[in-house]
Parts: sequence; C-alpha cells; structure tokens
Amino acid sequence: MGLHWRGGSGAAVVVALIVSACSTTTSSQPPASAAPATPGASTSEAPSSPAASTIPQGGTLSIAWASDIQYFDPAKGYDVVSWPAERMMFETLVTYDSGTKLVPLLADGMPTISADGKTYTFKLHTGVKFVKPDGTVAGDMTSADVVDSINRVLDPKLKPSPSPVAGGFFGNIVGAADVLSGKATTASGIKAIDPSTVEFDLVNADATFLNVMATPFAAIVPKGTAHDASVVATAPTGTGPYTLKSYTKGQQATFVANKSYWQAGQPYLDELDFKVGVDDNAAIQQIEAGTLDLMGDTIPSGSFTQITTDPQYADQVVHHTLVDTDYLFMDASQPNKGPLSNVKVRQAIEYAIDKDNIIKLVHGAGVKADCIFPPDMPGYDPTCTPYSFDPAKAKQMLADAGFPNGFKSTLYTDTTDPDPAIAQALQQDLANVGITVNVVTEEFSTFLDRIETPHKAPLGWVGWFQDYPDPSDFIDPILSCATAVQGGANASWYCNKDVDALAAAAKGETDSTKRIAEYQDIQKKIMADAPWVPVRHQEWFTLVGKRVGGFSIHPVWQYDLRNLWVKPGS
Amino acid sequence: MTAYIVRRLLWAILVLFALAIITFYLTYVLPADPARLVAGVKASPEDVERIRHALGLDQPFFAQLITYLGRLAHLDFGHSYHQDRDVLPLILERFPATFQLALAGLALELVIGVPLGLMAATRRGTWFDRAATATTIVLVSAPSFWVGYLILEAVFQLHNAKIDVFPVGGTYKPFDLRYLFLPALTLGFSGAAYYNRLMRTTMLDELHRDYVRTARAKGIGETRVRWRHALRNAIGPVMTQVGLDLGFFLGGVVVVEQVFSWPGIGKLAVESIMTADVPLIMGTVLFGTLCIVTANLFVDILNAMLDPRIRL
Amino acid sequence: MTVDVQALRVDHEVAFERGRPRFWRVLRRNPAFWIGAVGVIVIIALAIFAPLVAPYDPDHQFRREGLNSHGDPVGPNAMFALGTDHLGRDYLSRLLFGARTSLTVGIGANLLATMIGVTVGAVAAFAGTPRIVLRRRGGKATRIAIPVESILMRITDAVLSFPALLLAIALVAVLGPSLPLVIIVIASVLWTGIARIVYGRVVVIRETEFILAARAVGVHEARILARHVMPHLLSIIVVYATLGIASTVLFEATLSFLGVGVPPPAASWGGMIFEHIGYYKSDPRVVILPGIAIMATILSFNLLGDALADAFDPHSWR
Repeated sequence: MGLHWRGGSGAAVVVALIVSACSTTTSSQPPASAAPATPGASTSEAPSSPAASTIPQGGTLSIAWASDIQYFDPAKGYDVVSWPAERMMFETLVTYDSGTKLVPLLADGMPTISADGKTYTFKLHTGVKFVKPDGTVAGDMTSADVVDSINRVLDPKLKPSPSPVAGGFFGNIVGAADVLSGKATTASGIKAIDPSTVEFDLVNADATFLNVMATPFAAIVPKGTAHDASVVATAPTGTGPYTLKSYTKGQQATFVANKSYWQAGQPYLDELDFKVGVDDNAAIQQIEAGTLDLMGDTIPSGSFTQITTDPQYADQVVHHTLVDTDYLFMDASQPNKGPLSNVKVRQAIEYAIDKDNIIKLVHGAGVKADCIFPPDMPGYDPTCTPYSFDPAKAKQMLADAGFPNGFKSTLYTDTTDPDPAIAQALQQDLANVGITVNVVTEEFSTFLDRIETPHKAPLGWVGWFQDYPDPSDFIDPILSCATAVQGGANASWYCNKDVDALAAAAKGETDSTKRIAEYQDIQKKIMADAPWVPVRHQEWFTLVGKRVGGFSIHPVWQYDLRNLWVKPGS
Repeated sequence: MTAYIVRRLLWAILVLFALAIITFYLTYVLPADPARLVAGVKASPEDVERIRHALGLDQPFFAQLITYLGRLAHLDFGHSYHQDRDVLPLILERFPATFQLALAGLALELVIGVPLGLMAATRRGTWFDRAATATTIVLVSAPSFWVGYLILEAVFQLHNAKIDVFPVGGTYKPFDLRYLFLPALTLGFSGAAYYNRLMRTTMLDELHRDYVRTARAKGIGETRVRWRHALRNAIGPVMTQVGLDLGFFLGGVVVVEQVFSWPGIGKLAVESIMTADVPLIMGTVLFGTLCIVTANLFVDILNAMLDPRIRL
Repeated sequence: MTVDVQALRVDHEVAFERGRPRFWRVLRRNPAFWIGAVGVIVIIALAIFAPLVAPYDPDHQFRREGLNSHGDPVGPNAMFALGTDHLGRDYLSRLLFGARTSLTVGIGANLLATMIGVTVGAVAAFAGTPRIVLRRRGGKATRIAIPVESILMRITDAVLSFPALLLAIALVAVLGPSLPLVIIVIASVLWTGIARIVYGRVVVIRETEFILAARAVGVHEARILARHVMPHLLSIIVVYATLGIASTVLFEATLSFLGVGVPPPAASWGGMIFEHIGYYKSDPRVVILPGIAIMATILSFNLLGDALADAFDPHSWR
C-alpha cells in the first residue's frame, strides 16, 4: 500500500497493515533473531482467549505514541496514530476478524453481490446508536447516514483539504467522478433503498471493494456531520465502543467506554488513554516502570538487544512480521540504454546483495525477502526463491553483460533510521561486485518526490506496506504500467505489458484458488524481470505492560485496541 | 526619544517583513511537494492534485506570497500539514516550556558565570583568575549536546545504582524543577563562560576608570568602591546581554531541547524541518525572529533611555 | 544599532606600534598558548595525514568482525583500538577522518565568514555616507547621499536577528545536505560577528590623525583603506579568525548532530554522535568519543585565540 515511512520522532504518515494467516495470542514469542520457519508463525500456540463471560470488566489502560493524533475525522486520518484513535469511536459496515477474513460489523451479514460483481447490497443492524462525546445519544444509524458518510469522503471541498483517498478508494463508485469534479454533491451509485438497506453500484467489478469498506475511511458518521475536520474534532460522534471524553493536544486523549454501545458486554475497559508525544525511549522506560501499558512504536534500536535478551521481559516482548516488503529498486527503463535497463545487469545485482547482513544490522528485526509478497499476504509463495547471495556469480554476470569493470550510479534513500545505514550496507555490497554507488539521503518527502518523477533515481531503498490483504495491492500500485508515470509509486518504472494483462485478469478473477495461483505466477514473472531486489519483510517488536490482557498484533490493524482488558490481580 | 523609538520599531517591522519573504521563498523552492505531504504517501496522484488545488498550492509564486503575507498581517501563521492545527496556537502552546527553560538556563548561566567573573576581576592575575578563566574556556569548548548526553548518561548510571534524584525519561511536567534542572544546567554550563568573561571584562574596565581612582583617593574603602560604584556600571552590558540572550532563547533552544526531549519551540522547529512541514517551519523561524527582534528593540530602547549618547 | 563599546575603547597603537618583541614574549609565557598551539597543530596534522595514520578504511564495513551476533557494535578489542560503529566500521579510523571533515568545514566556513565580515565591516565604517555629485546637463548639480554605512550595518543587524541555527537547519534541509552547502550556510550566518567588530575598530581608526593626514594629502580612499587601515585590523582579524574556527567547528558539529550536516557516509564527529544516539545507554563509548574530539579541537582553537588576544593587547581583551 504505502511507501515505507516509519518515524521515530517524526510523524508516521503511513499505516502499517499486517496480515497474518493465523491469529496471535497474548503470550510472547521468543525474540527471533532467525526468521521463523513458517510464514507468519510468530505465535507459539493456538489462540485461547477466555470466554467472553470470564473477561474481567473495567479498568484503565494507557498507550503511548511518539506522534500526536492528526485527525479525529475518519475521512482524513491516514497515519498510524489517527487510525487507532478513529477506530475507538467509529465503525464500518464490514471489518476483519482476528485475522484477515472480512466479517460484517455494522452490516447485518455480508452484503449480497450481484453476478457481475458491480452491485453490493448491505443490510444494516438496527438499534445502532450514534453517541456524542458527553455520552448522550444522537440518534439511530440508518441508511441515510451511510450514504451521507461516503458522499462526505468524496467531497472535494472537505476542509482543510479533501480526503487523500477520495478518488483512489471510492472513485470506482458510479457517480463518484461527478462528485470529485464538483458537478454533483452526491454520487448516484450510493442508494438508500430503505432505512436499513444500502446499495453500492460500481463502475467496474472490483474484488477489493469490501476491503475498502473496511478501512476507517468508510466509517459511518451521522448524516449532516460537518465537512470540516476541525469541527469534527471538537465533538466526534460515532457508533464505536468508546467516546472521546477529553483531548489535550500534545498530551493525552482520553477515551471512555460508550455506555450506549450497541453490542452488549463491550468494551471491557472503562477507559483507555492515548498519551501522545512520548518518544520511544521514554515509553520503554515507563513500561518498565509500570506507569505505561502499551507503546505504539517499535522498540528503539539502541535498546533492542538489551530488552529482547532480558529474561525479565520475555513475556512482554511481542513481535510479528509485518505485511511489508523493503526492497532495492532499480530503474528498469533507464534512459539512454543505461546499465540498469539491461535485465542481466539487474539479475546480477540480485546476486550481489547480502540480505542476511542487512537483517543483522537491524538486530534481526526482519525476515529475509526473496520475492514480492510477504508471508502473510495471500499469494505468498515460499518456493519463490529465484536468487541467492553469490557475489562471484554477480561479477561474472556483469562481465557477460558487458560491464567487466562495473559502472557508477547513485542510490537514494530517506533519512529515517535505519534507512541510511542500510543504504550504506547496500553500497558496500555493490562495491564488492564492482558497482560504485554514491549514497544520497534525503528527507522523506523530498525522497518521495524524487522517486515519483521518472528516472530521477536509478537505484533506491524503500519499503511498501499493504493497504489491505489482497495481492493486487502489491502489484497494481507499484509494478504496473499505469503507475509508471509522474506521480505514480512505481519507482522502478517497470512496465511489462504481458504481466499487466495477467494482473488485470487476476484482479477480476472470482475463483479465489485460481486467483492466488495467478498472482503467484505473476510474481515469478516479475522476479525474472528483476525490477527490485526484495531484501526483508519488517518485523515489529514492541513491549507490552504486565497488566494488559487481550493484546496481539493484528494482521491488518497492527494494534486492535477495542478488545483489550486488564488482567486480574495486576 | 520618541523619534528613536519609532525608528527602531519601523526597522524591526521591516526586518520581520524581509524574513517572512525570504522564508516563504525558501519553502517555495522546497523540492518536496507539500500537497503530497498533506495527502500522505499512498494517495493517488489525482487525489494529490485535488488537495493541491484545495490548498491553493497551484497558484503562481506571487499570488501565494501575497496570500501568505496577508494572512500574516492577521496573525494567521497558516495551518500545519502534519498536525492539522493552526501554526500559531501550536507554537504558543510550546512557549511555556521554552520560556521556563530559557529563564532557568539564563539564571544558571548568571549564577555560575557572574560571581566567577567578579571574583576573577578583583583577583586579576592571581591563580584564581587563571583557574576560573581556564575552567570557563573548557566549559565553553564542550558542545552543549555532548554535555547534555554526558549528564543523561550520569543520571542513567545513578538510576542503575538506585540513586533516583532526577527522573529518567517520562513526560515533562510544567514548572517541575526536577525535570527542568538538568537541561537548564546544560545550558548554564555553555553560557556561563561567556558571562564570566563579560562580567570580568566590564568590571575590569570600570575598575580602571578615573572615578574609581578618585574614589579610592578619597579614601573610600575598597569594598564600597567595588560593589557600590564599579559594579553598578559594570552590570549594564551584562544586563544588555541577558536581554539579548533571552530573546534568542525564547525562539527555541534547539540543541538542549532535542537532547532532553524537552517539548519546546526548538524541538518543534526541528520536527517541522525533519517532516518538511512547511507552514510550521516558516512559523517557527518567524517566531524566533520575532523574539530576537523584540528583545533587541527593548534592549536598545532601554539603553537609549539610560544613555543619551546612544541614540544613533 | 548598538556599537561595540569594547572595540571603541581599543588603544590600537599598543598592538603593533610598540613592537613585536613584546608580543612574542607575552605569548611565550602563556601556557594557554602552548597548549592551544600544540593542540591545533596535532589536530591539523592528524587531519592531513589521516590516510596514513588510520588503521583501516573509514568506510569499510566489517560485517563479521565488526558487529556482534545481535548486530551491535563491538567495543575496543585487539582488532579495533576503539571498537566499531553501528555498521561495523573502525571507530578510530572514522574519528581520524572526521577530523578532516570537521576542519575542512570549520576552516573553510570561517575563512569565508571572515572575508565577508571584514569586507562588510571595513567598507561600512570607512565609506561612511559618501555623497555623489551628479552634474546634469544644464549645469545643475545634485548631490545624492548613499548611506552605505547605514545600509550595510542594518543588513548586518538584520542577519543577526534571524535565529541562526534554525535558519541554517532549514536551509540545509531545503537544499539538501552537501559539504559545500554546509560551508556556505555556516559562513552566511556567522559573518556578522566579525563584521561588527571590524566596523567598530575601523570607526575608531578612521578618526585618527594619520588617516586624516593621509586624506588631507590626497591619498585615494581605497589606498588608505588597504595600506593604512588594514594593518591595524590584522590583530583583530587573526584573533577572531582563530576563535571563529572554534565556532564554526561547533556549528558544524551541531548541524551534524541534528542530522543536517555533511551527508553519509562521510565521517563527521557530530554525525557520529547523531548516528549512535540510541546507544548512549548501552554503549556510551560511541557517543563520548566524538564529543571528546570536538571538545579538544574547539578548546585548542579557543586557547590559541585567547592567548593571541592577550599578547596583542592585554588591556582591551582582558
């Protein structure tokens, strides 16, 4: 989904969504310095959450974040702190279970989909209440609210600026284009059939539509909610299990249980505090001291070894491989017949990179990546291992391709830790086979700008997180001809028409087994063209306080805070 | 007198105006795309364009400049890209933290530096003078961020040895001396040297003046000569410097705030630059200039009031 | 505009006129001079001869021996006298090459700043407010006063009003870090100090009798400036140039510490601290050592500059 952006002290703009084939438990896993043998197997045993009736009710937990909450408006929030905050207060029609399976939430059952895949009809639960921050009920949810919510996301006049995914996620709805261009205020394809039925008409069949409807952007807000994020922030009103009791900017957001929540028995906690502006080192200290329960950031590299090897914290270190791939991209269409436009050169580079060393540099917080899809993504293929670490072979291949003395190039990356360090490691790997590269680090947005401009970066180090657990998310935005344009995220300017055709077919394929096989085939073909050297899939390590019950790293949400409880006797 | 004040005021406004234009220009030539910053990395190019248009970022340079200056005149410093808040309230919110640090730091600088300087002046040429000078030169040569980390390391070691005088990490509480002391001390060490030498120099200057010689000739005791006469004049330039330093610090003590994670304006400025949050960068730089210019203005006017010769 | 009171009180004739022997005698007797001079020479020598002295290539990453099994740097051992850094590179070698970076930037930036500052200050004070006479066709003469002094000093004041560090960080972040840019940026915020001091000095000098005499005789202004005024500035320039290197080295270290200094993989002391901040608890060596190097450098230049100041004229500096 997004280009890798992990901020230590800066604002993290990208949400990391993780897919896991199996759900995880609260027990910790031993710190993995070697990659787990099976994909996504960072759990040691099958899940065994207590039966609902035995979950202790009440209590307060706190979680610290380095960055502040940017938005309380589901139409705008797109970063790692805003999403968890929004998900406390707002809900969507469908969501994910404890894994990657889509299940209904506000919808009463999964929607009926027409044969041509273009019409989705949702029936809604009744008796779902919108609750204001002070706890008063603002009305029941009806289909009119659903229609208004989605039209709101499409509004190009949304303040302070339009939603970042209006076109990208919802542009496929009939009539959306008119709203986006300002010709209409509502999309004709969003219809309220009756107070508890909503219908969505799509322009093209798209298997990822339900995934989109599970993102917080599709959260349901009361009809008439202001088209202004600042106004929403003063009194966010949703259907979720928590309400925002108070918010002091730069300090803390306090969420309290929604007494009128439409699902009985939830939430378990009385209160959950978001402490913002706490850097990762301070968060570690507070969790160790017991004054903090969770941290939204990963364990900083300086304390990493110390904490993961400390037997005292063995139960409290939780980790999970993210649905992400970090890779060295190469400009496959380098102009003037540059060396990188030669597939043999790119393949040679694949053999030159010492991936184990890079994982060692990040203290083992990663899994070696041989192909495009991460372990938890449908389409992951453990047999896809086209290249190995073989510098001698790399040199030979370069000589065969006409570069016996290598060549010169430039490698770009951003300034966020540990990217500069990894870039320098890559630099040495390339030097070992005769390719002299100059490393240039740029501030992230400058870097982003550069790699979205055709051919401005011959080599670069970047990462890509999923938006939702569908393989098309790793192919279309970054490896298709359509995105090999100015402003597109296809940093290697890779365009293979045959692969494009296969990807288009796979996207619309309805038979899921066939679909997976098609994507695996696509992956193999792309790897043969070698536009990237996939190096690692990141592993998220965090420290969890002793009092926390029900915590696991969720495949999609990373932190699913809605189902936490306080362990008794703590 | 009034003419002088008016002139200085106009000059101050001119400086601010010039800096606003320069800062705006710098951020205009920023290689990064601000619309992309607001949209986030995953937004499609079309969505980014929509946002660019909504924010008026596709307007020509002068149009944007005029809009910006116009907003400034209404004290609207713009809207942060990364924090969805207006810039000026965001800066003012961090102001108390910087203010405390600035005051505490200056206080420590004076407390350490001034007495040393006075004693060095009155014992000029003795071992004390040399020792004091040597110490302050060493202190001023140590980079403040490094001293800061040494102090943090020391605290950490104490913490390991179970001596918890100062809190290790944790969130900052306003006006809590335990949190304030260490960063202020770091600042104090860096600046004390300067005040030491300044005090020493000005005191020596005064002690060599004719009126001191006259006073001594008249038989006034040395102590009285020093403290009641010389010091009162010597303290002038020191106070001037305090005023100027205060203005400088209020714009944000970047390095110390960064080391101690002190949530002040300096740290905000660094964060804004690291995240290319353009309106916030402009806001913090402008705010810093505002503080310095205001402090300079006050100091100059004060000096002009006290000394009519300085009304150039 | 505040005038530097100290500079006004200078009795500049003492500095040079009384002769060199006194100068050297005072200098030699001052222990600070020896410590400073030796320090400066050692550091410059290490910087110049770094490639010969350094045991390893400072950019070479020793992946097996340089990092332990957890991927952390190793401490001092038989192979690496001062241990390694987070990429497995020899710390001692990086410190030595760091001297090159820090001194190149420090001396380069200071040279540039001094040139700009001296020019601005001297020209401002000396030119004053020249009145240009324009003779129009038709015989009428108009006099236009160009307030050179005013303008230059106000520009100096304006630049002084900007928050230097913030502006420098913003400039480097905007334009992308590179060695030449860092030098230019540092020079452009630090030239004002010496400009004001030189200005103050020349203001005094220009009123002295021998200058008035030179003017009366009809010596050209520029010549007066170059041949009669400048030598008296020498003492100030030498002292402030030396002290200035301490400031520029510190500034460069600060910029690197904040992540906007000379870009990787170049070794830079401030940058080495920046790269290893997270390790200050588990392996404080990586943060302490570069700091010592910075401090030693700054201290040497400060001591030397101070000693020179003292030798030139004990009265005005002390």
